Amino acid sequence: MEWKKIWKRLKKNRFAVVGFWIIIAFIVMAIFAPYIAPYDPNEQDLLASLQGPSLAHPFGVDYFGRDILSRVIWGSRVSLTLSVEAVLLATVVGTFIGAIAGYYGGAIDEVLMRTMDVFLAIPSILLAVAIVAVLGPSNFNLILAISAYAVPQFSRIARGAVLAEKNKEYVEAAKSVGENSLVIIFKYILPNALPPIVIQATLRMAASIMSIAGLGFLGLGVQPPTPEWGTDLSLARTYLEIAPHAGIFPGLAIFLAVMGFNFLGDGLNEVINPTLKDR
Amino acid sequence: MTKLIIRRILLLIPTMIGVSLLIFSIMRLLPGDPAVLVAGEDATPETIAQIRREFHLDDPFIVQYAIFMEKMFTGEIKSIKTKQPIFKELIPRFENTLELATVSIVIAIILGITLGVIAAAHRNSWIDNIVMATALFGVSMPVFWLGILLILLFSVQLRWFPAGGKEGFESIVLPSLTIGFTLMGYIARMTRAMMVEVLTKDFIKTARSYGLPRRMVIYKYALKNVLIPIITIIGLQFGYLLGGAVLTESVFGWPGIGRYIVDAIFMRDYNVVQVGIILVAFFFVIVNLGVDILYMIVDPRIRRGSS
Repeated sequence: MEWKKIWKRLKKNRFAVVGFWIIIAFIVMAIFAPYIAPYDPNEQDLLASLQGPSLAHPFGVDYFGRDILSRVIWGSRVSLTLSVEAVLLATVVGTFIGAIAGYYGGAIDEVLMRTMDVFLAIPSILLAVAIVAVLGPSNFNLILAISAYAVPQFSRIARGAVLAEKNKEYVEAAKSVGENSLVIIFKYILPNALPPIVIQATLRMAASIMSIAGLGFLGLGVQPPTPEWGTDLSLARTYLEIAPHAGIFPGLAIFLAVMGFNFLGDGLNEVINPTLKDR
Repeated sequence: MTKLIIRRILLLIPTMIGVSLLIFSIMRLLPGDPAVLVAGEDATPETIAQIRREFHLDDPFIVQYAIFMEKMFTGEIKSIKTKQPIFKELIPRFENTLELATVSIVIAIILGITLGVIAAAHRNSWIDNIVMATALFGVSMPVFWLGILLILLFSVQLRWFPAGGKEGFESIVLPSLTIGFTLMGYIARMTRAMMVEVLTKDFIKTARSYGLPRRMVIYKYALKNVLIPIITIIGLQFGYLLGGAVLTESVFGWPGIGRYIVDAIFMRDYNVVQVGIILVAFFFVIVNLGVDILYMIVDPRIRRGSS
């Protein structure tokens, strides 16, 4: 199916449209954070510590006297950038591994896919925690930790697509004129696997945002004072009795961002795989 | 089919060796000398050397790995920090996690299947839309945030349930509701999708044309046919929960295995992390395999296709 057709049908899917606009809103927040946020996210006003929502601070103030609205806005920048990078890394590496495994088959396939099984056997959050704890919580290591679990999923999709295509005539034709194997895989076969990969990448964005926040909540994510939703929530958890507002807004941001990508991913899935489509 | 099952069981061996090697290698990359961590900063070089010998820290990687595996299988393996046999600490934690996971999954099944069936029975109506929106909310809900919201409402405001710990029946209510609600979404969506498909099948139309009441057709004939795929997704979620409930366990201070492992990672207790993750992964793959085998036995298409 061409992308134009997919887009046209997607526009008719209510959930997908809502998801799309939520994502746009977060992207705008991330890009224009310095202009939208009313305060510097790290500016401390200790006298205002734990103040509830007011006109001056619509989302209230956290323990260190920082404006929560500004931190939520800046937090979208951190979450989105890290998630996009993690998903890109996983897509490229996973697709490459899966395509090679599917195309060559035999022992190469067996070894690569069994290695992928190993990564899938450890619950994603534990794997991420172990990697970050060992390597340290830098942004690069966070991306590595989050993509570690997504790589096998992309490789399975790419492998499946290559297996479905590799015996078709156009591949045989390309082989017969002496095209290089890598050219055949990446130029001829993989474009056919693009729709399922795009669906997976969209859903993975949701999972990555959730993982980054989860690691932050455990104290292993983006380190303070950088504004990050999960890290801010774990601070708020300590003062829940006195300042409930601090535990609400960063979580709402995670929830909405994750929901946006889930809605869009689901919508894409329904449009591209019509068997699931029954609305 | 027997052949297929045996192959799947045998494949567990390389997977588990892979998991143990992976986690063993990751833990070797930890910065800092574990012997110094055990002995304390001001220990004499002799003490440190002795600890290094005791934990085989100077041996080559593969020797360390072999010794570790042997000790794990004989159950002698000890925590580096507490010096206690690991299984003695780990098993009660694992039981706690199992308890939480079981209650949560029961909640998720009851909510999920009910909502899914209702949505399918009222397909494309406002009821369907509300139910499916709720399911999607559940799927997108960060467990630790839902946990915080439930604490705010039921512990801080209403004071009905404790905010954390594990004492008595009340303490499991909030953590299991938290997990149950987030899992409910997956089950509800799966149930709805399957039910919608089944309800268009000929045998359902036939049953209806015989004049059987709609309610009976839906609950007795259609639901029976969608239980297998639903069991699969439940099995996968349950396997995941055995190690993946770390976040919920942290929010509620639930003394489960996930938190035990994460605490050990912070304390650099190699042995506990390795044994814990290997155990969690083992249960995860076993549950997955069990679900797959069940699927093969129950679904005649797969059974016939492979024999």
